[in-house]
Amino acid sequence: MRSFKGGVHPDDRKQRTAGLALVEAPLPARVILLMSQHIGAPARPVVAQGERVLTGQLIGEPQGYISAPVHSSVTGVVAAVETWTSPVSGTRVPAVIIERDASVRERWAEGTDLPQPDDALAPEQIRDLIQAAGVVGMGGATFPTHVKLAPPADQPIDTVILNGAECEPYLTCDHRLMLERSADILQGLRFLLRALNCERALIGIESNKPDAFEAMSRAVGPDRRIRVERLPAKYPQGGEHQLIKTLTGREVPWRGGLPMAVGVVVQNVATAFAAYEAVALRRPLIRRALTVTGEGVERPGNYLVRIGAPIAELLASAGLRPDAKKLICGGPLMGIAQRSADIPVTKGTGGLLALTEDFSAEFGPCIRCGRCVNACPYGLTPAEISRAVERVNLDAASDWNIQECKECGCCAYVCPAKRPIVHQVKFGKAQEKSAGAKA
Amino acid sequence: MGLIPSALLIMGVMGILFGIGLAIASRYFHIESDSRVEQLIACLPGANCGACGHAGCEGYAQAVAAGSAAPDLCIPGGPKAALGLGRIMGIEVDVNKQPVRAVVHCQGGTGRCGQRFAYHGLADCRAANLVQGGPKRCEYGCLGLGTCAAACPFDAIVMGADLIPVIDWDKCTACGACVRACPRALIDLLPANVSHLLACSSQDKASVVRESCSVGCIACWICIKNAPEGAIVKKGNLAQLTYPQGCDYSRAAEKCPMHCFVKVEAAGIALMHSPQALSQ
Repeated sequence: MRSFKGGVHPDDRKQRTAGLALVEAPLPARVILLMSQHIGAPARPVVAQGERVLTGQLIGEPQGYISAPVHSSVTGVVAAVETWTSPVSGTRVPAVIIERDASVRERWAEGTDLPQPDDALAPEQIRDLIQAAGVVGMGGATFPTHVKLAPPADQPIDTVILNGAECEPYLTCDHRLMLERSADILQGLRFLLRALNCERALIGIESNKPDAFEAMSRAVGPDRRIRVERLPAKYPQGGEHQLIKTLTGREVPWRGGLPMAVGVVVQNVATAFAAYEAVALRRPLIRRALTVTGEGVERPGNYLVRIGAPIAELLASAGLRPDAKKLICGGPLMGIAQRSADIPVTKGTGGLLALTEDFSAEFGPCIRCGRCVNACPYGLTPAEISRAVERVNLDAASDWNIQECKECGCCAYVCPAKRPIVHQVKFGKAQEKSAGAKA
Repeated sequence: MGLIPSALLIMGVMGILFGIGLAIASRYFHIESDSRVEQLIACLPGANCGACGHAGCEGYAQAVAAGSAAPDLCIPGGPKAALGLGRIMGIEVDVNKQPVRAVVHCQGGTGRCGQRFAYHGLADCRAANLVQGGPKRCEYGCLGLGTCAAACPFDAIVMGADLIPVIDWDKCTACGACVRACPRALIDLLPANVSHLLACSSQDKASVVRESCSVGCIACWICIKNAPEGAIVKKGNLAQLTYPQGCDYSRAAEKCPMHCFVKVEAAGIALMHSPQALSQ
């Protein structure tokens, strides 16, 4: 199997949940819908306190092109329009809180939840439906999908890559989606292909998920445009750059180069599923698949949950153990540690990890072993970036291409001195940004 | 000729040749430099703190020599440096400006303002501030990791036992390095003759402040009622002292239910209330 340079092989710890089917989580009594669940401008709330809302109703209008709408994920009453802690930034962002009305049956807003024959849709119509449904990249980056579906005219797309690698340890929700919703994902992928006027798609699945490979291959059927490919199980195989390199041999250029520059658009399998729901069912993005796992929960599992559901409730129903020490939204390598469970599920929350291990802040000086250099899948020299940031030498950090780092964490994973290299990179980038803002 | 005399001769001749070469080069490649720059640098303290807004003392001296900077911008050098620079440049300098010094607008140290999570990252306030909005319970309060102390070129800042910086005003030159280093903008330069300062920067609502800190401003505005008109103004959810000439803040300070005011004394900041009293 072809591969990319670098990467690491962490213990994947997926076995606890890989065999557990996706379960529809009970509807939450209250949802907290953040207006900023995507990259780009936060949405603006368009409902007021006390207003009755239906499932799928628009409650947050996008502000600008690189932004996404937010829809109510339950039928109920707006309890408050205020602020709530975001699991991404840890700071308070505007949010709409909706109390579900348990006395009535769930009702979808007008124009939503209408299964449609889809053959007649033009590329622009597909793009508009996806944009209106608030679909964003569901692998965690949450970049608005409609922007990726409208490449500039001078950068034609010849390949769509569907990311089914799920290379982060612990997470299995994409795996389950591929097993249980393979036909829907394929339908979503065909919509993406039509929106991009593209005739080739590659579905990349890590070799540790042979059942998903089988299921997806079966679902493809006789469609010659789409090929399912086995990928080596190596972190970060699901990174855009690594997927493109492994599947096409192309390299995304440095200095802010995007996959579009090499004729590729990468979408997560969960995004393709959301695109299917948006286009074929006319359902806005109001739920997602999510894995609740880690040694800190008694009953791990894969769930289909409503966006905005309180994370504390999900953890409680999974049996949060008293010895759980750390809560992470996302995977253990790129996920974000949370200071409190009083946060909602967002469009980008693919996993909830409750970990019980002790973490130490102790780290030593760089011993110049070079393991991080071998591990870095972007060809950087993390040791030098780390040392430059340590002495707050922004020019040196910049010379070592700190901006090319995607913070995948391979370097910190292999570092025998336990240096917090990713934190140093984030710190260095923030310092550079504030220095740039002052200058 | 013996080995040693011949070596000496060769080295000597080479030395003379190189010397002549250098003498010629220094003539030919001579660059006209302002002789005053050297004199100006000699008058400056050499801390390269950047308080004047230039790249170090030499940069400032060049700017003064070029006439693009005033001679009284060196804060660490004080009146002495200003007079020296003025004399060299032949400019009259007013040295009766009120000196300023750095003060910290937070007293929510350990025991008064807790942590909301165990922080295991880099020991730098700016890095800690990036993680989930900072480990401190108060989103405006001092993070206590000593980035200001590390930034001070004059060793005027030490971290107190409660992890709030303590500024030694004998050493502080008001260069402002700490002001720039603090990610939460808690340090400010105040005239040395003020009697009180408000040691809180929280813009949170009273309910949030009460939950997070025992010495935070709750915007009750009792201080405004106990101070001369206009001496304290509302800045969002925080009281701000405007320091009009000869204003007495002692009554307002006494009435503050959250003990946010601290009294400024010649030696430094004296806490209005002992830490024991506050914890009760």
